[in-house]
Amino acid sequence: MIVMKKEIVQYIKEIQSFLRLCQNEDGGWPYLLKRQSFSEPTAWSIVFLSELKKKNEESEKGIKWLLKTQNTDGGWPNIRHGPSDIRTAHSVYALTDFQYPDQIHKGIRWLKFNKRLTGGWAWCYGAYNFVEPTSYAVLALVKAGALPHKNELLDFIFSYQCEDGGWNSCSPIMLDVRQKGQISVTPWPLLALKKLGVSSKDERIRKALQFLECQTKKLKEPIPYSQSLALWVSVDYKQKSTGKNVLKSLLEKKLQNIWRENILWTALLGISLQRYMEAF
Amino acid sequence: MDCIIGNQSSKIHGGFLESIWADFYQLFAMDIEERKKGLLGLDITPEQLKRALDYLQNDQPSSDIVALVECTSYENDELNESIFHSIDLLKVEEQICSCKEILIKPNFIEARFPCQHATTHPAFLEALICVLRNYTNKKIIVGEGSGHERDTALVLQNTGLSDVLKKCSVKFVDLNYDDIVLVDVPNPLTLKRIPLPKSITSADIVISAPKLKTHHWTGVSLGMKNLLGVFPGSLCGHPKNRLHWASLPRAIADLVSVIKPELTIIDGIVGIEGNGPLDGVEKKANVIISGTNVFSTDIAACNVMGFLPVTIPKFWFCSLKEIGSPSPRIKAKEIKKVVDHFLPPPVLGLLMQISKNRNKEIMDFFKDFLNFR
Repeated sequence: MIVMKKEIVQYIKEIQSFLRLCQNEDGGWPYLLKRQSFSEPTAWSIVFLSELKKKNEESEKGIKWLLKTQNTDGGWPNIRHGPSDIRTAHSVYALTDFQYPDQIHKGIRWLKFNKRLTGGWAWCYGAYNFVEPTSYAVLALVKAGALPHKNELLDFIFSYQCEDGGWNSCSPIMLDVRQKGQISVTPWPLLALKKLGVSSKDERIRKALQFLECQTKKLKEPIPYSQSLALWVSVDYKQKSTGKNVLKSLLEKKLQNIWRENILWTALLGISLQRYMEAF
Repeated sequence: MDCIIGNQSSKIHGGFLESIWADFYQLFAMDIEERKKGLLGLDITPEQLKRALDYLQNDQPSSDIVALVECTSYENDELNESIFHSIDLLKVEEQICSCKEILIKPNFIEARFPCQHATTHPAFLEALICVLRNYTNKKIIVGEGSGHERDTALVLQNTGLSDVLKKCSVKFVDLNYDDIVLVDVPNPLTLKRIPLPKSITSADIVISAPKLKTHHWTGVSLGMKNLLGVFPGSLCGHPKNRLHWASLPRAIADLVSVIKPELTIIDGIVGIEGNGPLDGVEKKANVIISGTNVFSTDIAACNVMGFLPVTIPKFWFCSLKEIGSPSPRIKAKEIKKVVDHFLPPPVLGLLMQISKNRNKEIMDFFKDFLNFR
């Protein structure tokens, strides 16, 4: 574990340096190197950098970009000047650690207003509500201390759970055919359910954690996005041995390959590693 | 194409851009039943339907060519030869030789394994790259934006694409997270402007390399449906459900009127029948279907599968936009056996089983099935 700890510290430092380097001049972060800024990678890069050091130049520039990007309806688009969408949740999540009460309040109001009558949230305007965007909204609203309808949201998230214990990006049953859970989606509802107060003793959670563990074991090569989220889940649900296995696999992947693939993944990896270090 | 969103956008007034986006995201004032009709493409007026059916049954000879080449396995040699024959029949060598950059868009909707046959087979993609390399040493990239899966690394791993990329030294661009370009749609049916990944708009040649599959909402999933993968997940999310509620067949017609792949080459060696594109049953069809017009190629593929194009709503909407010819010239090589008919998908199945070009029967179907006006 000591060797691993050194490696994690080194990994976190490298992620920090990398995120500093790949920040766009406008203050935002792109998904892919040297592309345009989007609010999702910007929000998560801010979360990672400010969890390491609350006041830092890059986060401040990123926050300025986020504040500039907020629409007059209070929501955030993923791309500047676009219509507000569920990425509002990421921006609210990132800004809650800072003193921007008006902007956060407007963001919360947008989220509450855009919750669907049938439960949960959609990715964007004119689309159907699904579990992943709903989980984003839950995480943000809980962090901001503004969560409405807790029981209704619990029901909504569990109603989307697949028979195998996981969740997928669509529906658990499609035209009478049972669908499988996805390793990239399952961590989000698990993180949201934890924030809604559901414990790992709940049978449905136990099944979901088993699904996640089983899926991560099946991987031939590391996949940073899903595994970072699985690591974060292991911290929240205090699954130390699962976390350790995920970590071992993740550290096999060269960091520069992750940077090249996606900056959002890099930021999420940084957050998960940081949380793992603090927890275990 | 009117503007690029990104650093350049700061020069353009924000309000103007917001109104552009509002067009794309316009929420339709439809109730849920209307939306379901829209999802299937059954929200067409009788006049439009008549016009579309007349267009689809026009058998005037056309300049669009579609090549059908037999290929019985995913073995390298046979695949290479069959793809080479396809390109030879279509006479697109010169176009390939003179281009600067080729983008291949396969169909990797989910992180499925090649043996499940829901995604373009990696051997097919490898052979395609290999054949293209015989004509050009210019840049070839593979671009995809998975519809159901955010974790692109997992998609690349499970579908076998990462091995192909390494083996062929080809770069991959994640179309879900690329820079975005807004493109005007001529005579829009549902989307006035479409956000597209910059890599798609900047490539000299786009090659669509889908799988031969049925599709629960759109009847068949071929070259045109494959193009839905280019809609950026960074805007639509996963699944790209926004397009379903914008009336999927209309969205396909709008998309195909702005992205016109220079070549569509369908992996029909093993396809999917029944409840496709993901929950159907594999179907060995032993064929590669290719063409220079995506609509005409899909029409031919649809016939190969045993479905009449007049029974499939997305062809109606594409017909209203006159995107391609409904009766392309077929060039076939070594087709020894007619492909057994594919089982239709469950939702549109009744309509797709109409076995003759009968306008009245299709119109009657609507009256009975939907109490259509």
